[in-house]
Amino acid sequence: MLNIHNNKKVSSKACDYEIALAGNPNVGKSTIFNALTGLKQHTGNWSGKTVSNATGYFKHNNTNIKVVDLPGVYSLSANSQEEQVANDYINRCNYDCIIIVVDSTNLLRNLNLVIQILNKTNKVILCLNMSDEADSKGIYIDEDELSLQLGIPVVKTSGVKKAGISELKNAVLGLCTSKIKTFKVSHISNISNKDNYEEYSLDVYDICSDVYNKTVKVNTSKATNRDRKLDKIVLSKLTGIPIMLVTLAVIFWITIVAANSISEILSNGFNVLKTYLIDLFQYFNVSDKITSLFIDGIYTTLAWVVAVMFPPMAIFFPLFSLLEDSGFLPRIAFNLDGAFSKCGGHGKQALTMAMGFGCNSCGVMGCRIIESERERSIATITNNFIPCNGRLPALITITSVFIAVSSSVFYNTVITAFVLLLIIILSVAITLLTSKFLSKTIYKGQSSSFILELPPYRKPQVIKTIVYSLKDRALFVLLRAVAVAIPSGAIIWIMANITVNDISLLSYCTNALDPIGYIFGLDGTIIMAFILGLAANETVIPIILMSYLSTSSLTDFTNLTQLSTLLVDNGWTVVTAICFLLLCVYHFPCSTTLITIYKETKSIKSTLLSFIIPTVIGLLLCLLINLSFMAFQTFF
Amino acid sequence: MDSNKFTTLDKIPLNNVCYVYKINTSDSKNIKRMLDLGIVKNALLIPIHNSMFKSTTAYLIHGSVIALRQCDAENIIVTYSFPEALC
Repeated sequence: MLNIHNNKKVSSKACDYEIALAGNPNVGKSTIFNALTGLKQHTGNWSGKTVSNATGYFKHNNTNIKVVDLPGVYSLSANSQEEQVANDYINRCNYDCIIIVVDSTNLLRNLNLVIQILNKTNKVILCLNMSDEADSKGIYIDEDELSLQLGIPVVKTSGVKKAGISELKNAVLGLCTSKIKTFKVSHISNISNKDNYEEYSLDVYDICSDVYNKTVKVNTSKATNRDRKLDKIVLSKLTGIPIMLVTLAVIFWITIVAANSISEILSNGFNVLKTYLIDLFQYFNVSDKITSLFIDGIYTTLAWVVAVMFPPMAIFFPLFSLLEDSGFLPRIAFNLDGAFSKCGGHGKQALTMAMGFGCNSCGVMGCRIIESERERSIATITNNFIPCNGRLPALITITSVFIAVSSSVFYNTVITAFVLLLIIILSVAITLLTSKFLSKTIYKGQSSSFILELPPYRKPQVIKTIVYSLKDRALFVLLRAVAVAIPSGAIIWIMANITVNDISLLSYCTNALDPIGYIFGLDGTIIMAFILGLAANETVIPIILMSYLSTSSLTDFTNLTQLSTLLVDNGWTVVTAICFLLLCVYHFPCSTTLITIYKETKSIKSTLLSFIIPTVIGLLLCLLINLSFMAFQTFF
Repeated sequence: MDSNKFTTLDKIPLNNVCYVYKINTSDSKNIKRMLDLGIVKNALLIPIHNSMFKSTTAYLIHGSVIALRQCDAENIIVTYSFPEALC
């Protein structure tokens, strides 16, 4: 779930100085960037969140400063796309200073990049981030000695607590205006950039060890021991995968339970508002047709999207973000790497799949963290198998109506969460099988290396994460859905109300698609909804309801009995519901994701494969279910 | 009595200390990535967890934990103090 708008300028004002934030992955660069600029660049406890430069501005002592947040790099030797982005920037040298953000709890490894950058330029400030965490782990860093050893200003910060940020701003301004001087340390600036990178690295690490030994004292490693104990459970062969599944199931269950209550409140609110709106239209003597267009067409669709689609997003996003912050996601990649390796994929594909839960477009962009082009293409094409937030509410609704039908509300929520978990397990299995198929046919080649850092476990910032997720993620997805829902609602209403020979245009379309739909256990309306849902998956259910509502009425969006009656009246059975669930997960990606796939791969072949493969798999699964059911009916 | 021997990283039992001697692969990109993560000569490595299929192992190096596939660990020559009885 990357911020796909991170190149957006927040201000067009001219800046006095330009600075950049560089550092290893997962050292809190984006947190420092947010603390400096007041922006909300996506943060999380795993490597590879920032895949392109993000730009922001801040003003300090009447000076405008532009900040560029670079993707995390381990060195100045570019190995992957996002590292190339950072290296290109550093090598261009058209900045006034670089803040190198380092993880204070892991200074030795971080110093490698510091020495390499200092070997090129000394317009550098060292930001010792997570200094509070280092303190709690008993790691003491002598910042004055470190400054002396490196010849640059050193500032201790805690991006999360916004501690040390004003000192950092002072140092930036001081260095940009040359009030603070840096000096070249001969043995650092004299490291010869030998042709042999191994010898060069050895020289750099010798200096790193020397500087580290002179400046760092470690008293205890309580927190590290805690991490090792947790890893014994989370990475265990016995408990690793079950913990992963249970965590996901619990997140789904909380999402379903909490979303139901919020949906009910919103739905009641929309119903009250609807009566006021009808009164308002009548007050202004608006014709029945126009009133119907706005109320039955646009308003109903919009209200559905907000009341039913938004609550699951609003719950799921923050819960998943908390998981991201904890450092759990890279452990999932570790646990699943063996399976991916056997299927010709890459362990980091598990990370990009996790990003797909939020938005497949972001998941596709996240595939940049996979260095091998072959494995990156496989991860890109299969990302859509993970149901994004736009599809999750539809899955919950249809499962609640047709599968979780016990008399106990509690059991219904548990059953729905279990069905969602089964869908995800099936999705992972299909991702692995498709990866295997692609790696043996279109994308043949050797498995690349898998080198992934497992970050320390961190306590998530609960309130900050919830506020950010709601504001910047859930609302973004909601607004996109609303923007598509309004014209979709209007178009469907017009199609349902313009008649030729007493048959509506909508009926013509759905009747034409009905034979195809029946083959796959669906109907023409569902097929048409998926086609129109290309714009945004969130609109599939509203379009289906709008189509059915041209002859019926639905007053309470959260009343599952009413919804069930409407769907059953239009020919839905359990088989239709199962086929709908399968097609909802396995069909072509939305237009935004398709555009992103083309932008990322620059390949029409990959884009077409991303469209065709999930659709074919979805239709085949539906056909299989439908034929099996028909055979069952015939013989039993 | 222990004796120091050269072996590959994937052969080191869990929670045993070894020291990097050489990265033995022709894949320059892979070598660079390993060097960048601190897998340089004489760096101390401790394998701490195996994944479910044993194809991936987590190693402690320079205070951080790094996961490597077996095929990558096979390319790292290390010195390891084998117990005498096993030699």
